[in-house]
Formats: sequence, structure tokens, C-alpha cells
Amino acid sequence: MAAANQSARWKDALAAQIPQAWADEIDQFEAQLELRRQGKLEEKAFAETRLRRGVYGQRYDNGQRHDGGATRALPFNQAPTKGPETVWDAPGMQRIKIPAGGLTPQQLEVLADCAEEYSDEILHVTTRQDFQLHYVHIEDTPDLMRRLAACGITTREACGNSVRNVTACPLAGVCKSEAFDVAPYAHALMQFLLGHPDVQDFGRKFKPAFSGCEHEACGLVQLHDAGFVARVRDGRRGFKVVVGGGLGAVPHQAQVLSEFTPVEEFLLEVQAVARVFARLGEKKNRNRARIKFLVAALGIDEFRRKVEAEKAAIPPDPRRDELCKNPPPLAEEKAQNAQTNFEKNSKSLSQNESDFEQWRATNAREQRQQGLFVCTVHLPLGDITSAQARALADAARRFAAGNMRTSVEQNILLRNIRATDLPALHSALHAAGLALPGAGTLVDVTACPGTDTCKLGISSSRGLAAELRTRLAAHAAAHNQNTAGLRIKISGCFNSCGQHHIADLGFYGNSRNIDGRRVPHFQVVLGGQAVDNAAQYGMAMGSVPSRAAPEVVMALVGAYETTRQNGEAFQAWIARLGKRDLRRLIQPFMKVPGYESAPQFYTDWSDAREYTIGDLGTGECAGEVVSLFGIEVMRAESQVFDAQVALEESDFEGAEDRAYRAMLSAARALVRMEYIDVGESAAEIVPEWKARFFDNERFFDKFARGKFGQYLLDRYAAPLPAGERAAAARRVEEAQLFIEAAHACEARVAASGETQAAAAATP
Amino acid sequence: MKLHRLSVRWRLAGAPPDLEALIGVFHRAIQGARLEGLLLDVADYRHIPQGPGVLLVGHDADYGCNAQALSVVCKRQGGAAAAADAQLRRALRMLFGLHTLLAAEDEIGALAMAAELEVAALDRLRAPNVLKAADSALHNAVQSVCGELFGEGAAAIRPAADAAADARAAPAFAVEIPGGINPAAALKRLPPAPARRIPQTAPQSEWDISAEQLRQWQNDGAPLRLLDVREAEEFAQDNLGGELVPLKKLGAWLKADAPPKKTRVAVHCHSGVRGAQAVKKLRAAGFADAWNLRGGLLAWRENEAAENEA
Repeated sequence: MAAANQSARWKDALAAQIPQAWADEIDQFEAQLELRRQGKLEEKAFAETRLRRGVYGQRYDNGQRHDGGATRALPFNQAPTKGPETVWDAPGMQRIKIPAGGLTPQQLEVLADCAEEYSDEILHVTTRQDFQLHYVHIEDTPDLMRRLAACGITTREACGNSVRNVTACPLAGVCKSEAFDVAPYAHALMQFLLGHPDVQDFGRKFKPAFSGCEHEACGLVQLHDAGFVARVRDGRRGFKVVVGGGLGAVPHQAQVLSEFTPVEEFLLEVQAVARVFARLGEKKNRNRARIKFLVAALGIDEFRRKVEAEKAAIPPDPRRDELCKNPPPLAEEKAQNAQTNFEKNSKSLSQNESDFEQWRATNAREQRQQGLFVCTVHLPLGDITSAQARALADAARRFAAGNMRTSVEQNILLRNIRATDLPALHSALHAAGLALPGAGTLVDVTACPGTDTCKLGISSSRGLAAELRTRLAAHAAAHNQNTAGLRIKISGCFNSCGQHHIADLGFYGNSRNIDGRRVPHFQVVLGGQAVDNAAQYGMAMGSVPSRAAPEVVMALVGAYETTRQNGEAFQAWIARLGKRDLRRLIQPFMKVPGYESAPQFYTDWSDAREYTIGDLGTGECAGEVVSLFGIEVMRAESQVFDAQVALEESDFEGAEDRAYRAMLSAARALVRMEYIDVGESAAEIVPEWKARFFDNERFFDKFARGKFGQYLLDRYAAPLPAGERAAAARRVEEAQLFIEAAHACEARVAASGETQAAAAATP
Repeated sequence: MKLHRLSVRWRLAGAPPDLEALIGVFHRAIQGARLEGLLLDVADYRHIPQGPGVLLVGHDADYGCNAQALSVVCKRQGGAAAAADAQLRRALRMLFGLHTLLAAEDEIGALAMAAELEVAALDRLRAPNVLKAADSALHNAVQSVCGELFGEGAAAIRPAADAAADARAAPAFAVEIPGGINPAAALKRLPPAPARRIPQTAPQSEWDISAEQLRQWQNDGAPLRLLDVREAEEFAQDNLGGELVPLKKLGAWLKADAPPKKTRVAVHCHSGVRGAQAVKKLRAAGFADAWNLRGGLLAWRENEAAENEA
């Protein structure tokens, strides 16, 4: 028996359970792994292949890590590589797509097994309804994929320039305000586009989302590349279709492509959009390659004309028509036990009456279907252990007819719970540590992985989120009806994976140089709005050190509580105070105390190491006074603040102008490090900055490259006609990012000692 | 039987340790290579109720501690330890090594440990959860290794309660040692751990040398100018007897005090960053035999400590 086990392979064990096409794909991927290991497949080609299968890089996979004292070369085998500057042996992340978040207990059990055997026993729910496993070794990924494929999950096109997970409101089908259940249509879209030839040639990723109604937040369609809002017209089902939304560094609101597309035609419409995007979208410069840039460049009317023309050219496709007509429901399991078994016991099963009541108030919500409830399993930072996942699978079978949905808020929802079963469900969850109350409230903080595992992370988004959860759980604000409903979302950098733009209180990570040391910071973003499918993005208010961010939350929440008038909502309060007064509230927390008196400011949350942003420790260059750059760049920061004030006062021209001047000031701050006598005009600053920092790529960072620098060059070359809110808001946002990039550039220059002496560089 | 995904847990009998402090302890363990294996990073999971607490994630094994237990999860096949019993010996050596490290840390507080271990196999293909099979590879490995460590027949081995109650869980055995567990004695009976080394500092310039190399040059007695490019205050605290030339004064030094261009020059700073800039300037000025001490004074002192230990 032992001998038989010895040579056992998942490939053979699961052969009967994996669809042939999926099995072939995974075999092919395994063969490519072997070819790459033998050096017979090119590094870049292999990287694209693995990304398309959701096999992603992770922090330190370039084989280097700063341990707090020095940057160490982690002694992995240096060959082969799995992508540029990515060591084969370094563990990585596996992303797992869950279309519309629909999950069966069996699938959750397989995920739990995989997390236990290949990862660190943690399943992480993402802000796009995916799961992620971290610290996975690439050799384990083919078997991991086979085990998932055997229960109906594919990781194909989970990353890379492809159609990413199709998300949908997790309440679809049970929601009181929806026009109809969108989940089957989301599922149809996924099935139609997965591996479709028309979506293989994108310059960048493409994220679709569905919502059952206009006004709730659940679908967040406004921030997606393509969004579908359910509408019923003359008794016919259809979608309002929007395109060109996206967060990223500069957020765009999606624009309306079609007010009503009947469901019978919606896949044709999507296919036409995909073909236009594949043909006309930017391919070379990945920073301009999302569909939002194409829509903005063409204008929505021209984009619509192109989509209409494309539709006429698309050949008939019976499979497409069938998917539209009979969209496939999400997989569900039948409940194993009759729910009525628990009804008579339910009273006694509720262990702690007050815990239960508190949980019920925040985590249970009545469905459209009379007498049934949807319950949120509140996962802290989106994390659940393998053992907890098995307990949750049991609860889903017992109480929820085997039906679960992940949510963009990083939770898991159970549906079709009978009112009488709620106490028993609570007890079952409680026993597994899964009955945290406060779902959808102030303590339910959303955070991307940040510096924990992401290569792009600047500050510890998860560390801050965990700290806020701890502090807020005991704080009156989390239980006060005026403030309990506020939402906090945190990203580790400007890339917005934590969706900070749509939070009441948003944060994104950045850093500052203080007396020669790096200090982790968070930019405070206020005024965002998640309802109406994320209709309003927040604005950056100023950067505070990471360690002060919890105080900022307390101060803002406290000020709202004490100064709100006539029951005004948080959004209204933010609008009434205006940027100037809000800045005044944040100001006291912006200062960084000296290293000697408060060394904790120079470390990040959940991390004992002295903080650093790069492989070269800049922390050692102690003893510098505030640099010339530091003084100069403050001007830029106050100008961008003025631009925000102008925007708020609907002075769009003024806002654009100030945003431009802010960029010029930041560029000038850099130039003055080398050429102190540079003039004040754009004609003097821009060419100097371009020659000294842009053309030689000193302004570029590894990931965004010249993206932020291009903002200034674009504006300098062709000033856009002013006077429009969206354009002005974008300029302000761009200026903010340009300043961040200038800070980062200065830090790199300081670390590498590249600065040429002023005398030598003066022309 | 090849079975390399194994987890071992040692339950705490007393108050839970300070997990906040543990984060710092784990980071220092990485810095000083104080635990076996290639150590990568620290993952803080304290926010998860009934979660793994704080993990020290390694390349081939993770160390963990929560309110209930110390744990080690071996994820990859380590060296020649392919068989289940060899892998279990390795896992237990790491677990007792973790205990030794934490017990010596004042911040962690006293650790009261139970007289019970739990061993699980995390490989549902080769080791499905059929605990009744007393001849399973996992059971055999537990029996033979515990016999070696605690004496033949001294350990009571039974299926772990969670694994017995749920066929989906990984197969696990609870091992009770009535006389209690003495980690130091157990470590003596286990094969010794491979030598631990602090990973090299990453390259800092094109002209890096190691601390060993610099030491060798000094011992050889060949002419060598050693420059310390840190600031005077730093020099006063600790130095290697080099000539103090702060980085910003290097230009002046090149003009006024520099030796002939063919002289061998080694520069160092605190951690190697400023040294890398200095060596670049020296090379640009024509010093073809100029070198940077990779990792600076820190690397030198580390190397000294390692040699003293050896």
C-alpha cells in the first residue's frame, strides 16, 4: 500500500474529475515549467504564461530583502528565473478567480486543503472576490490547479493582460432593490470570454462588474473597465452598460456606453468592446493601456460609434446566443440536513444572547424572500484559516443550502438562512471564531496586501488595518449609530487595490524623508462615496506618518460626531467643512517627531525593522538637515492643496492651473538639487527637468516607469481646454502623483549618491 | 516513505506569550540566522481569532506561535531528509530550536509547555486521513522517532482529536510523554542542524569585497590604505582603525592627501551604502585598486562574531 501511495500523482488521481480542456491546459503549463527550468523557454514568455494562470510574483522574489540592518541576498538558487529579476525558488502568490464570488462548500474545502498543503493555512479574500494564497512554490502550482479544476475552479486569466475575475453584487438573487438576479449573466460572461480569441490581445487587464441596481455600492460598476447595471424596460431584461472606469493611480469614472442593452445582445456588445479595445488600445506603454485611456482619448461618442460598427462585423455565434438566453446559474450544493432539524433547538443553541444580538444587528440582513436572511461572515482583513474554512463549509451546508459568495469587502456571505436558524448559525460560527460582529461597519476595514507580500507596497496597509480594528472595536464610535456605518479602506500604495478612493476614510501608502531617514506615511483621502456604484472618488488631503494614522481616524470621526449639523451625513459634513477646515483637523498629525524621541515613527505597523523603501538602505545616512529639495517641494504640496480647494469651489480652470504649477514646483525642486539658478517659468523648468531627470530615466521607478513624469510633459506640450470638472479632478490627481514621484526620485538619488555637484552641472 | 509536508505542534500549558514582542524576536532571528533554514519574512496573523498568531515564514519551513502552541510546518523536502522519519526529526529539531530561542528572550516571558506534541502529515495524496491504519507511514515515523527521543515505549501515541473527528482534516497523532519534554535532552539525540549562516549582504558596488577578504589583506601585510567614510561622531563610537575621511570630504582628500593611484585602497562606512559611493569616486579618479567593504562596519563585526563562535 505504501508503495502505491509513493508514486501517486494528483494528475492521475483526479483525471476523471477534470474537464479535458482544463487538464490539457494544466499539463501544458507543467511542460512549460519544465522547459523554463531547462532554459529552453525565454524568461519573458514564461512570465506571461504563468501570469495568465494566476501565478504571481511576491515581495522579495528578486532574491533580496532588507532585514532592518542591511539588504541581504537571500541564498536561493539563482537559476533559473521565472521572469525578469524574479528568482525561481522564491515563493510567490497564486490568485484564484471566483466568478461572481459564487462558492460551494466542496470548493471551499479544496481551497482549505490547498492552503494547508501549499501555503500558510490562510485563504485571503481579495477586493475583487478572488482568493489568494501566498508563499506558494511554483513547482506546486500545477497540482494546486488540478485540485481546483477538479471542483470547477480555473485560475486561467487570473492575472496578466486578460479579462480578470467577473465580479457581481454578492446579494444578487436575494436583494430587495435589484431589478433581477445578475449572477447568471456574470457567469455567462465569464464562460463566454474565458480563453476567447478576441480577448487574448489586450495591452492591459480588463475588469468587468455587474450590479443588480443603480444605487447600492455592492457592484461598484463605476470603477470598472466594463460595468453592467440591471434594468427592466417594458418588461424586458437588459443592462445599462458603462465603460472606461478604473481606480489605479488616477481614477476614472466609467461612462455610459448604452442606456439599455437587452440581455439577448449583451454578450455581443461586450465582444464588440473587446475587439475595439484589442485593436485600438495602447500596447506599448502599459501605463496608458487600460481601456479608460482609449475611451478618454476617443471620447465616449466616438467609442460608441466604433462599438456599433464592430457589432455589425461580428459573425453569428450560437454559443453566445445560448449563453445570453439561458445564462448558467452559479454552482450550488444541496443542503445535507433539513433546516427544520435545528429550528426547535435554536433558542438553546444561542450561547450568548447579547453577542448574538450584536452580531444579528450588523451581520444579518433580510432577503427579498420572506423570512430568509443573508448573513455576512466577517473575515478580519479578508483572512480565514483552513480549519475555519472547513467549519464554514459545514455551516453553509447546514444552514445555507450550500451557497456562499465572497464579497469585495473581503467577507463571505451565506444566504437563505431561516430566521429561526440564526441563533444556531451564530453558535456554529462562534465555535470556529467566525462570528465577529460589525460587518460593513467602521471596524470592517478593507486593506490590500501592501508591504506584507506585495512587491509594490510602500506602507503596511494590513498592519494599519489590524491596528485600527483593535482600537475601534473598543471605541464608542464603532457602536454609535451615527459613525458605526462609516467605511475605512486602505491601499499600500497609489495603485488603489484597497479601493481607498471610495471610502469615507481612505488611506494610501507613501513615504517621506525626515532628517535623512525614511518614514512610512499614509495619504489621507476623504470624500469618496461607495453608494450609487462608487459614484464619487475622494481627494487626497495630506500625508500623515503611519503611526499617527489611527489618531487621524479618531480625530475625524470625533469631529464629525461633535460638529455635524441636523443629522447631516458624513459626505455632507466633508463637503460643508471643505478642504481648508479638514486640513486643519489633520494638520496636528502631519509632523514627524525626531528619531531620538519617537523611534517607533521610523518603523511600520506589524514590522519591527527600521523602515526602508528600497534595497539600498537609506536609513544610515543620518545627520542630514532638511534638504533644499524638502523646502522646495513643500511649495508644490501647498499648490496642489490650493488646486483641491479650487476644484471644490468649482473653479475648474483655477484648479487645473494650480495643479500644473504644483507639478512645475516639484520638477523645479529636483532641478535645483543640481542647478540652483534655474528660473521660475515652465519654459525654463521643464526642459531642464526633462534633460536631467526624465530622458535619462532617473525620474522613473521600476514599476510605473515614466508614467508620472509624462503627466508634466503632456500638460507642457498641449494644455487641454479647461473648465470641466472631470478633467480638472484628473489634473489635480496627476499633480499629487507627480509630487509623490518626485519624492521617490529624490530618495533614489540620495541613496545612490548620483547628484552631480552643482558647479559641475551648471551650464 | 517520502513524506515531506509535516507539521509539529507543542502546546503551551501556561499563559500565552507576548505576540507583539514576538514580531521583533522573529525579525532579529532572521537578521542573526538564529533558527535553522532559509528564513524569509514575518507574517502577523494576530487579527484572526483561532488563527496561527505570528509566523516566521521560511523557504522550506515556517515557524509559528499563537496563544495555544509553538509550531513548525515543513513545506519542502529539506536536503537529504526525504523519508518521513528523517523529515520528522528535522521538524522536531526546528521546534525545539524555536523553544530554545524563545525561552532565552526576556520579552517573551516564561514558557510553560505541555507534555504533549502533535504531528500531522500535510499531504492528502500520499497520506490521506485514515488514522485507524496503524501501519501508516506517519504512525511509523512518529513511533520510531519518539522512541529515539523519549525512550522505547515511553510515549503514548493516539490519533489527535480534531483529525479523528473530521476526515477532511490532515491526519495527526497526539504524542503524550508522561515524564514531560526536555527540549535540550531531545536536541542532543537528534542529528545536528546544518551550520547556519547569515545571508550575504547584497552587492553594493561593482568593486565590493567581503569582510574575510579585507581581513586576509590585512593579515598578508601588503600596503593598504583603509578609509572610513562615515562622520566623526560615528567614528568616535566604533571604528576599524581606518583613516577618517567623511564622504563629503573625499573630493578634498583626493586633491590634497591622496596617495599614488596604484595604491590599494579599501573604504568602509556603516553598512556599505556610502562606501559604494566612495569607491565609485575613487575609481573615477583613477584608483584602479579601490574596494568597498560590502556591508560596512556591520558586516565586519558580524564576521568577527561568527569567527568567535566557530
